[in-house]
Order: sequence, then C-alpha cells, then structure tokens
Amino acid sequence: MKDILKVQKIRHGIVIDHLPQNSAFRVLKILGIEKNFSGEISILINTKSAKYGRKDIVKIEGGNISEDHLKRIAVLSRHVTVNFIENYKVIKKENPTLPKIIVDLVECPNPQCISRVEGKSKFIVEGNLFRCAYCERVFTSDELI
Amino acid sequence: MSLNLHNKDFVSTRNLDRKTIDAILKESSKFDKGNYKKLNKTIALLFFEPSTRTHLSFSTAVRKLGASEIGFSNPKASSLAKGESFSDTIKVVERYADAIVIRHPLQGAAAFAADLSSVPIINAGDGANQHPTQAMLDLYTILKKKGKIDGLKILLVGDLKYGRTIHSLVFALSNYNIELSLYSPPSLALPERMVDELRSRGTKVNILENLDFSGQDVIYATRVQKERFADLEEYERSRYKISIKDADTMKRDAILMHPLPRIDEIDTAFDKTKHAAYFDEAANGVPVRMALLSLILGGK
Ligand SMILES: [Zn+2]
Repeated sequence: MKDILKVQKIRHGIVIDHLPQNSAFRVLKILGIEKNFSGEISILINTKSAKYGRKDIVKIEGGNISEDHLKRIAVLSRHVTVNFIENYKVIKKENPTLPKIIVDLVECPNPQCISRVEGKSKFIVEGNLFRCAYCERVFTSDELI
Repeated sequence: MSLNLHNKDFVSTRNLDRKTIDAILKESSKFDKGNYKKLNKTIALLFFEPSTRTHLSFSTAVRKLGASEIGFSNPKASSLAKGESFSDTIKVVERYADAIVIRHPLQGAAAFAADLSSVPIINAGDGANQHPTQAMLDLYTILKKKGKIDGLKILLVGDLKYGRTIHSLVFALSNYNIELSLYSPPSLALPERMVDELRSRGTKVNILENLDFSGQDVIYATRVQKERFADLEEYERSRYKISIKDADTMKRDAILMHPLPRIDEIDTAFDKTKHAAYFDEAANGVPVRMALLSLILGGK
C-alpha cells in the first residue's frame, strides 16, 4: 500500500500493482486503452518494490477491467495485485489467477498453428510457460502478450 | 484390451508412456506375423495434404484388417476445394466413421480435430509438429532389428527443426534408456526447448559438431528440404550425404533408417548392405498401423 500512496492518488479506478519490470505498456495493450481512452492513466516504470526489487505500476482513473483483462494480466505474472479504488479508498484487491488450461484468451504466436486459422486457442500452463494444446509449442508470457 | 488406447485419440508421442508404447510394439509384432482378427469398422482417411506414402500405408492397413475406408487422399478433390471449413469436415465425417486418420499441413490440426470429434482421431502428420504413427513404426523397426531399444546409441541427422517424424521419435524414445546424438545444419537444429524437455526427462542428448557415425547403433537420416532455405548457398552448404565410404566408420551392425522419400541423403550403394533398414522400416508401417487401429477400435 505504501508504494501506491507514494504516487498521485486516484479517486475512482484501478491500480495494477506488482507488475514485472517493463510490462506496463503491455498491460495498456491488454486493456486496449492506447487509443480513444478518455480516462487518466499514470504509469510507473522500474519503481522500487520492497518485495520484488523493481516493478511497474499502472493507475487508471475512471478505468474498468473485465474478467478477461484480469486473466490476460495473470498471463504476464502471477504476482500482480489489482486494487479497485472508490473515493480514494481500496475497496477490493484481486490477485488474478489462471486456470490450468486457458481457452480463447490469447492467440498462439505460431503462424503455422491451426488455431490461428480456426480462430480458437488453448494453452496448458506449465509453470512459467504456456504450451499450445494444438501445435504443442511452448511460449513465455512475453511471447504471448 | 487393458491398454488405455481404446477409443482414444493418437495425436502425439509427447505424453505417451512406456507401457503404452511397449504394448503397441508387442501388438505390432503379432500383426506382423499375420496373427490378428478382422476389424469390422469404417475408417476415414482425410489427407488435407497429399502424401502418397503414408496414405498408401494406412490404406493397406485398413484393407488388410477387412475394415472399410472412406475419405480423400487429395484435398483438391474434396469439398474443401469448395471452401468447407476444417471443423465442418470433421463434424460431418465423424458421423460416418468409427475413427478418423488426419494428415494436415498445419500444426495442431489433429489435436484440434480431437477436440471436435466424438470418434478417435489418429494423427498422420500435422505440419512440422508430430507424426506419431511413424514414430511407432520407427521404434518397431529398431526393436525388430536390434532386439531391444534400451542401451542403444541413436544418431539423428538432417532437418531436426521442422522434421515431424523427428519430433515424434525423440519423445517416444525418451521413454527408453538411450543416448541420443543430434547432427543438423545450424539453422535446422532441434528447437532448444525440445532439447531441454528431453534432458529434463532424463534422456542423454549430445549435440554433434561433426557428422560422426562411430559407436552409433542406429543412424536415422532425414531430408534437408530446399524450401526451408531463403539462401540457396546456405542450402548447398547444409546438404549432406551418407556415402558408402562412411560405412567404414560405422559399427558393423549399425542400422540406417530414413522416413523416406530419400533424395540423396543416403548413398544407394547402402541398399544392398546389412546397414539398410529403410525399406523394411516403410514396410513395417502396415502392421504397426493395423495394430494401432485395432487397439483403438477393437476391444476384447
Ligand atoms: Zn499453437
């Protein structure tokens, strides 16, 4: 909490904390708010974290986040905390988790994979890696998002 | 059958355990000796990518079993040419057939079909991913020629990156106590993550700098395809040929294998030697595929 308070407070919105270093821009990509987004976004990159050395933080004033967004953020890291803020107060904290098998969440990066043609995807979570259930190739989260 | 192959898909060797493979090999030996029952089933062969050899082998297996064959060997002749989707084709064919054998140019096609289909799917090659029935006949060939698989030194040569027969073979072999050596052009090496996976399964993997046959019990060669190279000069540098002179450096009982078709990777002068196992290997495809189809569709 201390880390969050250090930066400018937001009234309504979300604070995505404990992001891996240099992943903030990928979070924006996940949320699809690079363009036509009216809310206010602040980003902290490579900020100090007591727990993880260095981390990123994304704060979105007036932002909203769906289940799918949360799952995609969980692909980035299993340590992320999403704080939901109302009236400057954290009303809910969530640590997005991933099921063992993730379906239709992210596209397989292998251009020769049938899933790309058929418009479906399925990955099996193997530790920090993700194995496409179809082409069997494994990917890191960096390669998926 | 006590085996868990009954009514199951056969799409990859990655998760096959030794018990299952041993049982397939044992059953294949019975079929090889002509000791088997007829199979009163309908089997669809859907070849979304032409493959004369594999199609012929499966088709022969189906006929010898006394089963009925439906399907196509050339996608251009099927309704696909009219634009029918892959999913729709599977959905239709599963209503006609007791099992579907699929060959497809894209990786993951068989596993994808398995998700859709209520009847078992057998992968006859999906792009650069897997060709698990080829791996079974390769293992059967090794077992038949050498009397064992454990303790052997096996050298894989050629395109190890895109070679689906290689990918299926290495994971099947990882169930045995073997020593694997790999030799390929630098751009066609076995993907690093696959090497890691094999090592984490306890398989000894050596990456060779030079093509060295000494001490190897099995030499498995694959084609280096011109299409894989943007640069013709690099292709020329990457080609290799196992010449009859190399036989001097090989163990006297070393066997030479190749999934065929061969271009010029293996000197034809080998054909009459005891080293040559590739034609028997191709012939073994029939009993092995018969055994597999029976294990999946039969039932005692
Ligand atoms: Zn894939």
